[in-house]
Amino acid sequence: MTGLLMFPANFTDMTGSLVIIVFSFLSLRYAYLLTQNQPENFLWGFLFYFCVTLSAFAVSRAMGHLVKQVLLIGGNNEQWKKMAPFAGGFNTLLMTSLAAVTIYYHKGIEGYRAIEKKARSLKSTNNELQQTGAKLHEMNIHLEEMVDNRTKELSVSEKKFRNFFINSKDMIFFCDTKNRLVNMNASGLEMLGYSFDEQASLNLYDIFYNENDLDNYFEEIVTHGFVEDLEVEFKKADGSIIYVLLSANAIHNDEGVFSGSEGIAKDLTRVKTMMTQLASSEKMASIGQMAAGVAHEINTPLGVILGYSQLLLDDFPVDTEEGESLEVIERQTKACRKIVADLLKFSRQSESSRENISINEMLTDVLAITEHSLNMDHIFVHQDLIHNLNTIVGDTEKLRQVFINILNNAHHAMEGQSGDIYISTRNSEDSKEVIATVRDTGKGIPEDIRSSIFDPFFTTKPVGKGTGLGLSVSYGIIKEHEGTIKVESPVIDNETGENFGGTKFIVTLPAISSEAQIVDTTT
Amino acid sequence: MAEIISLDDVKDATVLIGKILRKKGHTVHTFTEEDDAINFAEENKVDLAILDIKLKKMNGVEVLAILKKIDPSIRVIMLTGYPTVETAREAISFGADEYCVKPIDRDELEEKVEKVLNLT
Repeated sequence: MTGLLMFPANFTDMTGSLVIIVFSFLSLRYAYLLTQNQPENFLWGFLFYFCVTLSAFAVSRAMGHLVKQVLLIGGNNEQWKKMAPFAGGFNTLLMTSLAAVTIYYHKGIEGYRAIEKKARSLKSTNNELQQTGAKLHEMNIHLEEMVDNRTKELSVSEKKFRNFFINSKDMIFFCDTKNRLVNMNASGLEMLGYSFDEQASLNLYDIFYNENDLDNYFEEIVTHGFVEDLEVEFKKADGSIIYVLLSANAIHNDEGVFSGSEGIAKDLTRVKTMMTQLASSEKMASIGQMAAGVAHEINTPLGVILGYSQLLLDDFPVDTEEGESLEVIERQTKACRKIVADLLKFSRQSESSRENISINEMLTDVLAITEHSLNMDHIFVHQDLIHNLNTIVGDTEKLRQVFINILNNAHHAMEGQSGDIYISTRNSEDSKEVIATVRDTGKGIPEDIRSSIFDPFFTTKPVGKGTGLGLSVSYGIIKEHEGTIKVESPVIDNETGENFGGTKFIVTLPAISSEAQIVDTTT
Repeated sequence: MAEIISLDDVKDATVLIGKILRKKGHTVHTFTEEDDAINFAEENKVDLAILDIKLKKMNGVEVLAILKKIDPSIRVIMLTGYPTVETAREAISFGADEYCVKPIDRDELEEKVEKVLNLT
């Protein structure tokens, strides 16, 4: 009866017991897998042990109830009564151990938290470290980039300055403390006529023409640290001289010790030549103006003196002493008049005719007059007159005078010795000019007077022997014909470089084309 | 013989011309002032005028033009220490018979005067 009534409760008890066992073991297995998966995890360890105890409790409790039910159903109440206290005790024991495990868990979790806190702080430190590391890494990468960029910039800048150095049309050089050349750009080497390989053996001593200049240069560099716009003469490889404008700075190494100099030099030879020519032509122009002014003013009083002396000659016959004196006055006044006339010719204020002239014919005429007296002094004339010489337009008489003057100078230059005069004519390459040269083998023109030879009244002849107007007049005449007159002394062959000595006058006159020739000038 | 006037800003020069030509039998009136010379030419018959180009107030070419206006038959010799192509051309265009450059020689002067006076 009781058995039947109690059946649902007993069934539930038995089934529940079995389910407890199954569930607890599933939990155990799951906990075990967790511990296997993460052996370090404290929580899983605890859970595992908890599950072991729980499983043991579940087995003990479930087994207890199952045995009880079996025994009660089998009517063995007595037997269960004997066993019940043991089963209850065992259960209590297991329950206690479960509680113990939970307490252990409670403590353990605290410990775990402490550990975890530490771990967290460690982790955050670690994180910070990682961040710092990342930052460092980033900076490192950035640094590399920066270095890269800087290197690129430097290389661009280096290229820029190297190009500047290489391509500069001016000379750029670097020297050490002994003025030895460390580096010179191509323009500089070209300017001086040295090859690239020769620069290593060069010293500024080889380049500066005047040693004083170099001493000044070096002293300025050392004491002031720079030189600015120093005008010096440089000596080229072939010994010729160029004028340069030099600016340079001292170089100091990282310790501030003087380690050399760097300089830029500009070739001024052309400019200087032009300036000289300009100054010379300006000088000539102003001299010409002055001469013309003087000449005009003097003409009137000269005319009066001449006229009165001639008048007085009426009253005093030539054979009287007064007559002779008056003749001297007349003669000298006429000499004055000649000088004044020459001055006017120089200043290009006298009139001139214009006709077609063959320079060759004119030179032949001139030689007909002068050759005899030259030959008397053992001076021989060699002619090299090109046969198809272009015609020029001008005043034959005046041009004749130019060549007579030049020949007289040549004669004078070879006075007391035998010599040769070479006369040549040719057309310029573009046929626009006719060039006539007269070269002598005389003593040449000293350098210090070379710039003065065209000045009026400049003469090397003794007083009374020459007026010093010959070449000035020639200059004026050639100028009037829109030509040039140049002098070379000593004469150096362009091709061979051979020094002939002597002097060469080069007269260049504009040629006319055959159509433009003046047909008739005598009307 | 001829009536001649000579005009030059330098007295010595014009007096000299007078002396030279008087020796040749001419009547010469010398002037240093343009106005005096012009006034003289207005009131008297003048055969020949010898004019310097550089004068005190005007230039010789201007005087030449005035004299030619007064008497177109007057002969003129221009005399100058400043020969320029321009004045020469101008003088010729105003009817000057000769254009001479100073300092002129006595012989040359006498010769030129004869030549100009004998022009018909």
